[in-house]
Amino acid sequence: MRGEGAYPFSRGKDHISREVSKPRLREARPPVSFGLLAGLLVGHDPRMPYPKTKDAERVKFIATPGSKKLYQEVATLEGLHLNGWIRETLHREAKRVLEAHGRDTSNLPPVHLERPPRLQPPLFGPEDDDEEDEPS
Amino acid sequence: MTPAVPIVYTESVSSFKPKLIGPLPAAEIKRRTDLLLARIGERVGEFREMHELNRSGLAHVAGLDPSVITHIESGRMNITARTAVKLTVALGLEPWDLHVPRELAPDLKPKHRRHRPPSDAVLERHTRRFLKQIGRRVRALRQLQGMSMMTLEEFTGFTNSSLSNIEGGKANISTAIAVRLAEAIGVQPHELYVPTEQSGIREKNEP
Repeated sequence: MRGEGAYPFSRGKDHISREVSKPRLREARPPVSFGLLAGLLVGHDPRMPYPKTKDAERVKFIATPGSKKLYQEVATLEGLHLNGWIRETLHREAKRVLEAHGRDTSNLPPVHLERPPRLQPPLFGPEDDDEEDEPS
Repeated sequence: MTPAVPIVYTESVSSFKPKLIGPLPAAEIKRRTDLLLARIGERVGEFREMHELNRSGLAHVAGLDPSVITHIESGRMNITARTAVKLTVALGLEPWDLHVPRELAPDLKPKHRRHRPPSDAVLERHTRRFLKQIGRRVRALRQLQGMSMMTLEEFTGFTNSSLSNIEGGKANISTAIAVRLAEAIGVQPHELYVPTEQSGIREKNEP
């Protein structure tokens, strides 16, 4: 006998199916908005607005061992961060393929994430603005 | 000296205005952190002299080694939030007072002077409260800028779990981390430490 009763999930299929088939009763709605309460509980400052719906999405892919190191090395040689290099490379290739198939490429999403404008000027010196004001 | 990954200006921008991709280079972060640490060190020295304490005296009251005080005052030590709490409790200040530039609080004076180090329980309580406040502040400023966690991850170079720990008040953040976060969000580093009531940033689109 294999550990009967040792784990709640090892008691057999019947137990699980019985649990799942229970009818779910609709619960009464709480008088206070749960969203507001949860926001306050996790520390959201109600004076600050919530963020935009979506400003980025994660793309995952699986590669052979050593590929990540290779991409990192190439990105550094190109003078880019890894994320930026992958984005630029994929975007360029996607655009090429679309153009080869005669598709419109005028409405492609932007390559890189947009930095929002600063809320305050940088604290240290005018040379901190170099990367934003002077062309390379 | 050229950093390994320089500030990048890509050709993808249609105008000639350059665009910074990803986090700032490590050398630039280090330069800004060193400047901020030098200011904090000066501030600690000023407050210590207001109490007419020498470095050993402050080290005793704060429960730190005298060499740590020397390193902090010379701007060579990357102080964490926990160390800031130890110092400010000893000096009779609020935990964020060391990070606020002198120009913004020229008349700031310590309230009282401690003569013995606080207990571990008191320090732990103050530290936990301060870390939670920093986490709330980071989250609020990130949301004010309309940035998701993923965007902040991209612009700071931190992982998602590190940022979650910081926003949840579980990470004992250092000054270097605060500089990276503040740079990515687009605020000055002390804004991450001060409570919302004392901040100059309240509303969206305010310069």
